[in-house]
Amino acid sequence: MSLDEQITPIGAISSGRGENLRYILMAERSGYIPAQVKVVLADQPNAGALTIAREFDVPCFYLSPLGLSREEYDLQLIRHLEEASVELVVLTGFMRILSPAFVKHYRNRILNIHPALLPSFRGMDAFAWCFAW
Amino acid sequence: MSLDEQITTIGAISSGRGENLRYILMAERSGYIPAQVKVVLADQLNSGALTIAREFDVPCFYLSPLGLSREEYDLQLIKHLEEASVELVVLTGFMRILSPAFVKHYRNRILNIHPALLPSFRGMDAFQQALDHGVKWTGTTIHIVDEDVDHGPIVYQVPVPVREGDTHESLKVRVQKAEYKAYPKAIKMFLEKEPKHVGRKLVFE
Repeated sequence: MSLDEQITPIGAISSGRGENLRYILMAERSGYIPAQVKVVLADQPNAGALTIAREFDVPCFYLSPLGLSREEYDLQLIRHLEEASVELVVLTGFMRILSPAFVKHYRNRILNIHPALLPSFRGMDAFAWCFAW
Repeated sequence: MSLDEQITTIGAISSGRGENLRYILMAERSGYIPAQVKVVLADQLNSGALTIAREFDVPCFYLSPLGLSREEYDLQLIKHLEEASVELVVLTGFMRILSPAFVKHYRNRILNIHPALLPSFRGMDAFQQALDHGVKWTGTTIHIVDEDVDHGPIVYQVPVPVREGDTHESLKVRVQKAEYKAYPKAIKMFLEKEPKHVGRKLVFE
C-alpha cells in the first residue's frame, strides 16, 4: 500500500451472522481494500457481527430498536457513524429498511449486498423466491 | 442417432431475422437434437426465417395477420401446425402474443427464447432495459410459454456479461451469440430428459 493512498473509514451495520463482515475485515487487514472499518453496529444483541468486530478489535455497538420509530433509530445509527467519521456505510445482512433521511444523509455512500441477480428476486428471502420461479 | 430414437416434429414461428431458427436447423441436420422442423410460419412477409426455411428445404408460410383477431390468426397457425403434425412449437423471435386458446392447445409444448435472465427484463427490448438498469450480467432464457408474457417454466439459462461501454448493438450481438448455442441445447434437454413439472418449475432428472 502506498503511503499517500487514501484510506476510507467504513461503518458496517448488521443483523445476522455477519460473515460478510469477516471477509471485509480480512480484506481490510491484508491491504486488499483501501479502507478501515471504524465501527460495527447491530440491531440484534446476539448478531454474529458483534463477535466478529470484537475478534478484530473494532468498536461495536448494539443499538436496540425497541420503542423507536424508524427515523429515531436511524438518527442513532447516524450519531454513531458520525462519531467514527464514517465515509462509507456497508450493510452486511442488515434486515431493517433504512429511512429516506438516512439514505439522503449518506447518498451514494451506502453499499448493500443482495443474494440474487437484481432486479430479479428483490426483497426478503431471495432464495425461496428463486426456487418458486 | 439410434434408429429407435424418437424424432419430435417441430414447428417454428418467427417475425424477424430468424437466426435462432438457422442454428436449430443446423442442430437438427447434424443429429444434435432428436427432432425435425416440419414447418416454418411467419407473420412478416420479409421475415428472414422464411429465407432460412427455403435454404433448408423446409415448408414455410407467410400468414398475414391483416384483418384477423388474435384468436382467428392463431387458428390459422394451429391449422398449419396440425397439417404438419407438429408436436413441439418453437418461437424464434415471434413478436405477437399468443392467445390463451393457442397456449392451451399446445400446453407445455411451446418454447420461447427471451434475451434476458428472467424474471428480469420481461417484455419488449430487454437489451435496453438491461442497459438502462445498469446490470453487470444479463443473458438468455429458454422457457415454456404460458398465458403470461415471458413467464412460463424455465428450461435453460445462460448468463452473459455486460461490458463497460456496451451499446444496444454490442450487447445484442453478445447475447445472440449465446442464444445460438443455448436454444438447440435447451431443445435437446427438453426432448431427451423429459423434465417433470413441479409447481411452476421444470425438474430435470
